[in-house]
Amino acid sequence: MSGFADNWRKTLQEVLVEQGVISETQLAEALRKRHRSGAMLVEILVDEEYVAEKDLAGTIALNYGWPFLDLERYDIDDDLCRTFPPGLMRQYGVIPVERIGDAMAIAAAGRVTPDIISELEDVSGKRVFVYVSTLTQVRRMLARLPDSGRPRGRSGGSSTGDDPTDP
Amino acid sequence: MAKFDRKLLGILVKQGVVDESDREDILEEAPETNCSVTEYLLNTGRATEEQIISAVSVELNLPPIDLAKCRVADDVLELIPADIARHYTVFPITKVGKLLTIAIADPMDILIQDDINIVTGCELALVVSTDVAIRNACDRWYGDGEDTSSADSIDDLDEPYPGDWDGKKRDATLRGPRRRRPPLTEDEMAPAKGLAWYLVEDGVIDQAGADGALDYHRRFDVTFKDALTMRHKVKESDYIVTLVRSVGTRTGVTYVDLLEERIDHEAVKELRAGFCAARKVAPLSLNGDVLTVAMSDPLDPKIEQSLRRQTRRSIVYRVSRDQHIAERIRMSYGKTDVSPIWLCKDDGLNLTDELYGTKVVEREPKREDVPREPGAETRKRYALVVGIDYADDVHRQQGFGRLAYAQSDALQIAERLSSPPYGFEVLPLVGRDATLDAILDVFKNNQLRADVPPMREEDQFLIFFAGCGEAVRAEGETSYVLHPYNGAPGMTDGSISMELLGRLLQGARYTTVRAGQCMCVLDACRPVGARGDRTEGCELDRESARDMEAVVGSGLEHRTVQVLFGCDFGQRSWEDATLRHGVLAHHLLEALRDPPEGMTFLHLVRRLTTLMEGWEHPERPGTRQKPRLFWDNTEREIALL
Repeated sequence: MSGFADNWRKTLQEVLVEQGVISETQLAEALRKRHRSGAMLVEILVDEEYVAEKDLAGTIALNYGWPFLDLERYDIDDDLCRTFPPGLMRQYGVIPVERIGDAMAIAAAGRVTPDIISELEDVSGKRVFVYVSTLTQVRRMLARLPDSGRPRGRSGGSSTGDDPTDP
Repeated sequence: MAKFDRKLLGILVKQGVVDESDREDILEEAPETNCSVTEYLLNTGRATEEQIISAVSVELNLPPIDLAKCRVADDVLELIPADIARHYTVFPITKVGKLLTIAIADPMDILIQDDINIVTGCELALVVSTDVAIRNACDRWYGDGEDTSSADSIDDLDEPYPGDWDGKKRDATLRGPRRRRPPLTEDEMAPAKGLAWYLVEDGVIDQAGADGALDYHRRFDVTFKDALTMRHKVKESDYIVTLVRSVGTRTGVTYVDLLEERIDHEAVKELRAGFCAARKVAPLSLNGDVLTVAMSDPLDPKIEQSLRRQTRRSIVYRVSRDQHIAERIRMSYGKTDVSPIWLCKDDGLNLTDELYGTKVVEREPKREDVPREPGAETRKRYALVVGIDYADDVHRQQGFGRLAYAQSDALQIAERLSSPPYGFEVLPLVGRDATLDAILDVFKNNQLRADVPPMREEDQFLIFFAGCGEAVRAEGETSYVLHPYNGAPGMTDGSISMELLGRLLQGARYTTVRAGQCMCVLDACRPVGARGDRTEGCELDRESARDMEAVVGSGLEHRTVQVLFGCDFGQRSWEDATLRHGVLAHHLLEALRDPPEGMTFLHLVRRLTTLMEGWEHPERPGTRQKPRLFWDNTEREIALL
């Protein structure tokens, strides 16, 4: 129970530094790069090899109490991708993976804030739950989406330079 | 499962899947068809699986999963043995780092999570499925349990375990279903039963505990030793000493200190690393055609059978400590790891001297030799003080007998503990504040309140409970429960059973506080039931206290737990109108007054016991009450000052 109760309010930056996954210097460098490229923090951390993507996913899952899902080992209905506009999914780096009754599960490679969850619930009309997955797997799923709207960031990071999954 | 069925139906009614008017009918009809509520609802078309998963998911705020769409990796599947997955209705899905994602049918039962936490050594993330879907997934991925004709264990399948040091893992989708291990036969159980008799004779464990461990050993892929040490907190050294002195004299099994033995590389070549790690076996020597091995549990028939398939040599068995065997395997094979969750804690006792030396090693450390405890200077003390009079209308409707002094006792105890010289940080939960959730929150969050620091290993934690407790018989088992404000007489549901309390004090990571020293004072045998004499309490029986006895002493983590019941076996706790207190609370307040320097919890209990010896029920001559302490006398004492 290493901190579900303690950590869910914390930003991903705080969690990663506190847990010693990255150093403060690495974080500062990653934030500078994020500002320049508009990519998401998790993308920079993985692409710059500050942290292995599976370790990052494990840290996020463990600290926010979200389950991990291996997207390569789960059959995702093609119809689900129509639940959200492709631009929205790219912007937030999320992929719908399951819809059962009133419950909708999404997968993300980074922290998904309560605001984003609320927005996704408004769009889908369902209660939204988060699974964590690796960046590569989420990117692969996002790449299959129909090309509508201009992608922001490398796999859809916000053009504003803010990290929408970790404000 | 009946308890879960009731909870599930409550959720389905709340979420509008089932009509309130149908609830009782379903609860009556489902058992008649030998079905769980889920099966019954599906079979009768009253609800779909989608509706059930969705309702539980939304109600409990846990993600849903469709297990039919999962393809599970071998190494994940191996984390939870098939029998345990079926027994607890859980199914492993993915593992990343230390986090294991499992599908679970009853996410509300934290004892299940605790057990899976113990078995796997992983933190858990829960996702929701149904018991039907989980059983189907178990049949699909573990096998349906019908084919038991040949291979029956992980080593027989010639797979590495748990790492991949001697071969690539096969993808689960590329091989057939895993065969299910059948329960042990009577013949296979005979060695464990023989040892159990000696363990009871030696007073290492009581008969009920031995029976429980035997049952767990018979049904699951767990050795008798692991069942004893993990579930019933028997010390490894006690197990080994009894084994060698009793069964060992007949079978020739002796103890070996592996740290003193050189590695025989010819012997190492005889056994695979994965097999040794999975079965806690270390090759010792090869002399001609005789292979000597050190084992954690030389009586386990499955290990013996597996060994005979590994080597054609004659085998001589010796017993050793888990930690020594794990270290020996690492030294012999390099990177091999034994799952640490199944390793007994080494208590440092020199078993060679104990068993074969001329000098018997003294087990209990002398008080004057005990060094000052680490962290004593920065220690903080925390107390959760609970008192409930059950005086509201809802309690009368439920049939609770009203208490007169439990709440006021709790407040006075809270005041005494928070005052000098004790200086406890106290959270009093009195009356309607003392709900089950409020009590459990302290344990789940490891802190009394948000504005109080979390408890650390060097800290102390005390829980005082004044209220109703009773032995409740449910699902064929008797359990002693404490009733919180929102509990119900005669129900284990919504109450704190001794098993749960034991785990809250000394369980695995999911339900326990982190304080290294825990004290529990239960003035809980006060009356239950308004129909009878209000002053009638409920006797504490041995069966009820068994679970608490089992968890006191050495646990998963280095922790001292001492539990004080308000009365002894066969007695009841009383309230005394002349004292205007519960009897225990009155004398506890007295015992806490003017403490001598260096007073420990044990001293406090002795003072309390002496004081209570003078009490006799004012209206029932000869009726007395004596507190009973559960503690492990080899543990460090808990200093209150």
